[in-house]
Amino acid sequence: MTTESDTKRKKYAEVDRISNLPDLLLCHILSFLPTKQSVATTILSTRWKPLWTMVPVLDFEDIKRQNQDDAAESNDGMTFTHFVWRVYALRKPIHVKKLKLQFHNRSVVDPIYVRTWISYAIGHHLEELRLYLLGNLSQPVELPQSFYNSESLKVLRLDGEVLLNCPSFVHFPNLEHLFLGFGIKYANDDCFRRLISCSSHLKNLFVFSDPKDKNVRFKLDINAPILKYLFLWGRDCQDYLLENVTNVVKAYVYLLGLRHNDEHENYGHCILKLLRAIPNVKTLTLHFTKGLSFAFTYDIPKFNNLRLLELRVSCCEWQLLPKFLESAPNLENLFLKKVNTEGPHESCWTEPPHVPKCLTSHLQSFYFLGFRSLDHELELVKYILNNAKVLKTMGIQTGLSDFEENFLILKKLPGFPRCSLTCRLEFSTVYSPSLSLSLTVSDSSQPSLLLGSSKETMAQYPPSNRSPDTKSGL
Amino acid sequence: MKFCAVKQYFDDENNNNITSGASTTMIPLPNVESHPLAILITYCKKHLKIKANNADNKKETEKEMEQYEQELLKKVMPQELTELILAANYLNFKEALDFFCRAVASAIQNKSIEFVRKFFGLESDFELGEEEKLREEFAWSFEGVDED
Repeated sequence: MTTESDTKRKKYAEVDRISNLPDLLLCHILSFLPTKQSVATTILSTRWKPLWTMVPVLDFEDIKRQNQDDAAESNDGMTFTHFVWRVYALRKPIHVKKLKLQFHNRSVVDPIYVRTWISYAIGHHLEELRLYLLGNLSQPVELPQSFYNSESLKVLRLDGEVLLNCPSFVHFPNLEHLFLGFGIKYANDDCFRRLISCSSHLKNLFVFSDPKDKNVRFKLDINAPILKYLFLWGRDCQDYLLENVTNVVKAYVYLLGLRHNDEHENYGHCILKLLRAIPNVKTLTLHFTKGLSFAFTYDIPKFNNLRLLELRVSCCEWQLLPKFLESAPNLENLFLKKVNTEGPHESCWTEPPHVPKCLTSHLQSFYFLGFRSLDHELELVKYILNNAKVLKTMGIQTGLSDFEENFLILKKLPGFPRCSLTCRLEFSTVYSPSLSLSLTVSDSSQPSLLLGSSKETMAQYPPSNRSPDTKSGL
Repeated sequence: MKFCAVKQYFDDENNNNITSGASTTMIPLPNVESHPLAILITYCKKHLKIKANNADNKKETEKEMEQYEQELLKKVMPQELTELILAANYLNFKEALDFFCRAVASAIQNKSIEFVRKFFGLESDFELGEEEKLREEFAWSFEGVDED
């Protein structure tokens, strides 16, 4: 076998196979490289010399040099800005399918230049625009007016120092994916609404805001009938108005009650109103920042399609759980993620009056993250094990690294009667990232932006390195 | 159907009413060698299988697919990639084409030009001094590459 693969290897090594590919395919390969690299291929050979000029992708990243000084521009030749202008001047006037601009936090680029670069791309049939302008710009980059009527734009992702100043007529007939990240500035109240409402093909919507940003205090109306994936992070819940989004299949809602610090009722009312707008959701992550114990007086809407529910809550503040169990009859996977506090602890679990339908016929997995074997937590585990007829996995994760503490918790667990014969109890000390519904950004080559300062973001969890003696499958 | 070229063939056949319901039609694929075709078929089947298994959970699909792709790349030699790219292009199989092109791109990402030349088996056929001139013209491009 080895001799055969040896000769095969030799045969491959001798022949130049890459030249078999036509120019179009070589350009396709180059389109997956940052423009800096694809331009460098110009010196490979005479055939490769002009290929970079025919690549329909512009991907510029201002790389931080090791000894970069804020004040001094490099005197020995080309800078990032020069390079970008060069590329623009020399490339063939073909389409720009994708434009990506990424600055680091000490980038010094003229915002007017950035605007021109974007204008060019828009004028060349741009389909995907990604801006990461986390730089030291003199002012935010205002997007050109031609941007707001881009017929070809399908994917838009904006982060950082970008100013959106929407004209009265905004038209994105083909926009499918809209991602508005931290730091985006809106020139007026109507801006956001105009962006959303004229994108009739919008499928995915992500809106991030920094909760500490005092400038964002106006309503965001979301009216998008084809919307499938909705991700809202960081604003006051009263800032949103959801209409006509009944097709949403997957939603992540982390909204705060910033304005009414003492009025939990308003916060809860608000969240419930948002939930009513997405009754067909299949996968839902809901992140509460306040307890909603009063919410027993309200009705949670029925979620007949809900299969996967993830509740991120604070310690002792998951009173709504029984209501959710009752209103999601087809629920298959349930995650309860708890942020722990010192105490005092008070019970937040009450048994529902009748055993919820999802427990008797659908629930297959239940994961409790941040478990501390408090009394009411043990009650919950006992109830689920006792009533979930088709449960396959009950996962308890502590997130603690201390062996003693984990052992004390583990000791209290076994011995609960189990209704489902196929149920397996998993105990683990670390959080397994694969279980979470963390943000799945389609373009995985991007640096993962810090999703706020919350320590809960899955990106910071250690990977699942379970040591053998702390995991027991009972 | 992922192999769009093959689909086209079936569509054409239906239009001409040559065969109906024959499941063992031989489709001529003159531009594809058997070895890359076998890999592409496995890739396609795996892709569809993973998708069917994880219909609801997109993240799981992506993860499994990634794992499979990593394994596949370990087995495939770099030079074989060009054959796979040609085959995927001929068959109009977009996902595989993008995947293999991306694989080639990441193999040469951030590497020096000498490495890339060796990797592709290319030789410089520039006249004297021309290469130097080009290097100077695009100096910024050549900074910050990995060591060989």
